[in-house]
Amino acid sequence: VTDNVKAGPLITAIACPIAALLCLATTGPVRFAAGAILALGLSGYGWTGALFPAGALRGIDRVALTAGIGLVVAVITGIGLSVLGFKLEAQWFAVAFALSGVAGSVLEALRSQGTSLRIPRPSPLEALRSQGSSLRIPRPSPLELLVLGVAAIALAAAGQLATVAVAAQPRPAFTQFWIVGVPEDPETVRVGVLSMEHTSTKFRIEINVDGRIGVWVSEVSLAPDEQRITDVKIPVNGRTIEANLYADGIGKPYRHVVLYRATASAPSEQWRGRG
Amino acid sequence: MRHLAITHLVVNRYAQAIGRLRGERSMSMWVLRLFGRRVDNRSKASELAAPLIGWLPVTVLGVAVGLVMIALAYSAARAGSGPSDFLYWLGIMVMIVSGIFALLEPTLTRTERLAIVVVLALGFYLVKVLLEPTAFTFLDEFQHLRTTNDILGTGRLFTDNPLLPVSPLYPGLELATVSFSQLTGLPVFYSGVVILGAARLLFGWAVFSFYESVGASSSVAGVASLIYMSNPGFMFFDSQFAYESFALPLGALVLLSVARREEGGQRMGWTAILIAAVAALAVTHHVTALMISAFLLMWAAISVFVRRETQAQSPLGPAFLMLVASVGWAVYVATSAVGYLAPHLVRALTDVLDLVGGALPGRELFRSGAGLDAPVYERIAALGSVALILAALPFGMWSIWTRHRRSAAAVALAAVAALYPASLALRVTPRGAEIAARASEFLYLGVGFVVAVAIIEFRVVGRWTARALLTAAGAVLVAGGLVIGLPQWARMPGPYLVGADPRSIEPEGIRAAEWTLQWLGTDNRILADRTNRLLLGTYGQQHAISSAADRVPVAALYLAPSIGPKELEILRVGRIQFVLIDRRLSSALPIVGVYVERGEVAQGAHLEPVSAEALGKFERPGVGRLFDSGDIQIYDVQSLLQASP
Repeated sequence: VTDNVKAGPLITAIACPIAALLCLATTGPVRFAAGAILALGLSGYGWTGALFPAGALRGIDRVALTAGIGLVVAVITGIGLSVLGFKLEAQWFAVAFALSGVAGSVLEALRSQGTSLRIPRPSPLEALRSQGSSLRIPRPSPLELLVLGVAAIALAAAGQLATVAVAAQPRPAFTQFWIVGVPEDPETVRVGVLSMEHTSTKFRIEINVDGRIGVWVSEVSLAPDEQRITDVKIPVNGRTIEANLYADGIGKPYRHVVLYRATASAPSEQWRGRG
Repeated sequence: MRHLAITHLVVNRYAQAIGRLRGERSMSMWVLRLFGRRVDNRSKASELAAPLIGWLPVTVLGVAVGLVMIALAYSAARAGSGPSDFLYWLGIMVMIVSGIFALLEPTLTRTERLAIVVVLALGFYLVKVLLEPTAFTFLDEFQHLRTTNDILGTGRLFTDNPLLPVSPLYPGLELATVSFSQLTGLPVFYSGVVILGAARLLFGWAVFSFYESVGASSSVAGVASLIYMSNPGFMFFDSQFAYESFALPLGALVLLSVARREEGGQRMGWTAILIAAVAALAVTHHVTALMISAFLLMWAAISVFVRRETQAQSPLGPAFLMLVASVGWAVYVATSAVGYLAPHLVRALTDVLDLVGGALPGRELFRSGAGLDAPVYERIAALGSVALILAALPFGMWSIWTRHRRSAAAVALAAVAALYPASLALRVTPRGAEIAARASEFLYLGVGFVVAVAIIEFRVVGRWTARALLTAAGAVLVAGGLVIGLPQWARMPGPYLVGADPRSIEPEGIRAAEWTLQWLGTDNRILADRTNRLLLGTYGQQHAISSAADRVPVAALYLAPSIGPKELEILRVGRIQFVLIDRRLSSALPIVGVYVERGEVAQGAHLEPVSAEALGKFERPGVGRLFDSGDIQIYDVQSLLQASP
């Protein structure tokens, strides 16, 4: 690094590996911030600096192109990692994005030093197009700040409203009832109840084997989003296992499931219902 | 020297625009004063040159307030109370009007126009995000969610996707989402929302900048971008988690790179961007890549005739680069893409020919498969938007012929716009309507430019009354596009509806799919209806059978009144292990026209709901009924497989 190298590319080149390390070594908001900056910021920013001189692309153009290059880098590095045989996992993405950002910064530094890679000066049209757009946004007036602040609050409120409404939407109540075989034990079936009723509900489970009613009976009270899973021993020769679920105050079966024992010789194949 | 002529022309245009800006007094002065800016004749130009003043904060506030109203409308619709439709349209109108009125202000700086376009593009994206802010619910979203989950789960590309076999072969969106999720630790849904938000930012900027390069005017670019955003797919279809939503911004970046290369300066930079964007687009979406190739080829062909006059470079090289990349990827990697696309195109063309010949009944506009009609005001907006475009196109064409015929890109855009009336004919058949809807994203690229040229070149901007009228027309355009793009039942949340894609996604189905994952394991071959197939393929990670992926007529089995030899044969050929039955299907006709998949009704639509007997045909000895949640049952049909010869 010489005195001729500008600070921008140097900072980007240093920030890329730091952000990559933070992605891999931290969790929560720090990881999110580091990952977002690396993926949508640094990798693209390095390349916009390398490909376009300061006067040719400024302000909002550079921000948009930075995000765009970040997206393109994500696709190309993903394909590249796959072709090279790397698994598409966090560590390889972090390395690839960091390398991309560093490569762009190094190229920018080389081009700014007057080598054969030197960046041409902006054309008159480019200079005119970038007129008035600068990375330094003029200080907005207090009223403008207020308006933008209100807008930001309104946006946050809209998001919160929509999210809360999803959770609060009235949904029909239901209860899941199921029966599956236990592969490791041919004399046992597993019965489960998951209540998604709106209130706490009492259930009665009744198991019938080959037409014999009430071989096994149990009662359970479940709160909303609560489940109960029970293993039930059934007779060795039982072939057809039916289970009925009765809900509080309902006379007829609320849910009904049936399991057939297969005739396969291996114990693990005796129960259907296990994929 | 090659680019001097065109550069001189373009610079002169800008200088004229700036000159006009300095000599006019307009509404923005009033707004500037309102915002505490001291404005007089001497300081006006310098005040306007600064970014983030004038109309931009007003537009940002308008978009934000509009989004609050839309969120309130969604909340009211979910609760089943309140004037949800009124609030919704009020919110949409506040967003549109604040944006359009600002864009028609002649004294705006280029940065302000661009920022307003980007704010509107992001605002329209958030209309879709707020609809379902916690999960993906659109049909295409599930298809790509499956591919994303597979990449996350295996760390590999090109895994099988029973929901959309071609999706893993174009993994651009999924790669961007997976990489973001891996780096940030965010869940897939939120990663997808952020990635598509970044893509939308890119889209707004690239479309504006492309129009600006072609039209040599930021005024044209602003209005053209807004008209482009009125295309029926922009607000919802192109905002969903699907490959086209990600590919369109990349396509716009390709076009912008080509246009900027033509201008001369920073040729190396734009060439590098072009190559990278072409590579990313080729692996992201087949149709977008081919459409961009076709447009560039047309542009190149037109440039042969106009080249002598303008000295502009031919985009033949980029056109071939795009074509070779997209065809090469389809031939060497995505070999099934042709088989996936061709039948859709052939059937649509056949439908149109049959319709002309009288062999096919026409599609009833503004009516769903279950007979739901769109409100009258929505029909008026939709027809009004079409009428406005048809009325403006001739003026724009004339203007392009008189002022822009030396620009190959402008003529190419006009040629694209000329296809718009023909696309309307496709809308009268069901399959043609889908193709017309998919084509709108590309046709509006030309429509936006041509109509904007008509508005700007005929100098109707600037006068108060003209601005008010144009704002109203713009509102009709955007509202009409919204109505054409998505029917009311899909645009608003609410209670469960039969066969209604996003409105059929609810907790009972999701929990049933999750149960299969927990208790049956992954990749079981399961037959289900259209909605539950999506849930099983994503939440359940099952191999949900479809005719596209498995070459078996699954709808014939699901809807059959009983199980006979034909049904047993389908079970055997499809190696179907489990069947998920949703009893709610017998309660109503499907809103989208089908219960299981397209083609299940030979012609027209279902006339009555599927019978309860048909849904109950798996209730027979030997068939295990493993799961029951009231509306949904899951049957183990492997014994039927053993019984069938």
